[in-house]
Amino acid sequence: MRIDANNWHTWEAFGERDYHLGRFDKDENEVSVDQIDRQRVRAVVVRHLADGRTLFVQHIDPEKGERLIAFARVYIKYGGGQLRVVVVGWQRTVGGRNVKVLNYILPDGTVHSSSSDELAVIDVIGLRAVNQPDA
Amino acid sequence: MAATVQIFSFHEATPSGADVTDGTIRFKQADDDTQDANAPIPIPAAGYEYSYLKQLQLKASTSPTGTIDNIKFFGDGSLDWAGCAIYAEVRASYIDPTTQVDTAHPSWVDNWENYVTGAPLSVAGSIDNPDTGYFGELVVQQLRVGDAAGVGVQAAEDVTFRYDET
Repeated sequence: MRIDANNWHTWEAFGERDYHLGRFDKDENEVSVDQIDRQRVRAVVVRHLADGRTLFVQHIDPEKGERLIAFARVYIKYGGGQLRVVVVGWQRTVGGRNVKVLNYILPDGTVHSSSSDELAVIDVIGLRAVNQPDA
Repeated sequence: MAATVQIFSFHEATPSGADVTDGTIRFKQADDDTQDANAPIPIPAAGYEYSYLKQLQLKASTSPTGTIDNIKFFGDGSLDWAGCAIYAEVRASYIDPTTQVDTAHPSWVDNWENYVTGAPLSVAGSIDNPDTGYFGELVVQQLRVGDAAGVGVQAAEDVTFRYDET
């Protein structure tokens, strides 16, 4: 499997009653983060695909009303530059308002944590993206 | 694997897209993206000259495992081509570029520099597993050249598509 700026991470979700789901199933087919059981999940671990080291762990506390956010933000620019930023976090409703925390995880392990889902600094990094094998 | 997504550019009356992900597109007065000196946009003595329209769309050659949506388009906010300006918009349908030879697109305004990090151009559309193919609206661009424009091929500008994938 090629590891590059668009394919550099994996993830595992853990939860109640031995709940577990990973990015790849037993047949090595990729699983969408949409399939994470939002009722049972209690933590999502993001790891580097190349060496398995843990980059970030997002804990979810349903008793506080926290709901998982998980997706990837992908940048493609003319000239071939690509970058995949992994985003995990949580949201909850407080006094009728949606409160959320999003953690933008870059291939080098840097994490930008924000309440915004339109974080300009991540766009700047995406705009400067260039293809880097073994990112 | 995550979806493989490419940027396609379209030409001619019945368009067939060409993958320009690893290349560049060139504003010119011809309906192609060829990197040559043919059909340059002349610098007018007064008024403006216009390029043919450039129309871009994303294509998933492999499907996402979930969904791709929240598509955006932006540049660095600074067009470094003296005397020039670019119009950008999104469209649901394709326009035959040859119908607008040296003619300003009806909606033309100088807005390309407005679509920047933190304030990108929103592109409607999405694609779900197991689908492949083109998705999202077309991003249309047209260059306007004024009498103060610099002579020759201008330095390339960076522009970026962004989307969210699950």
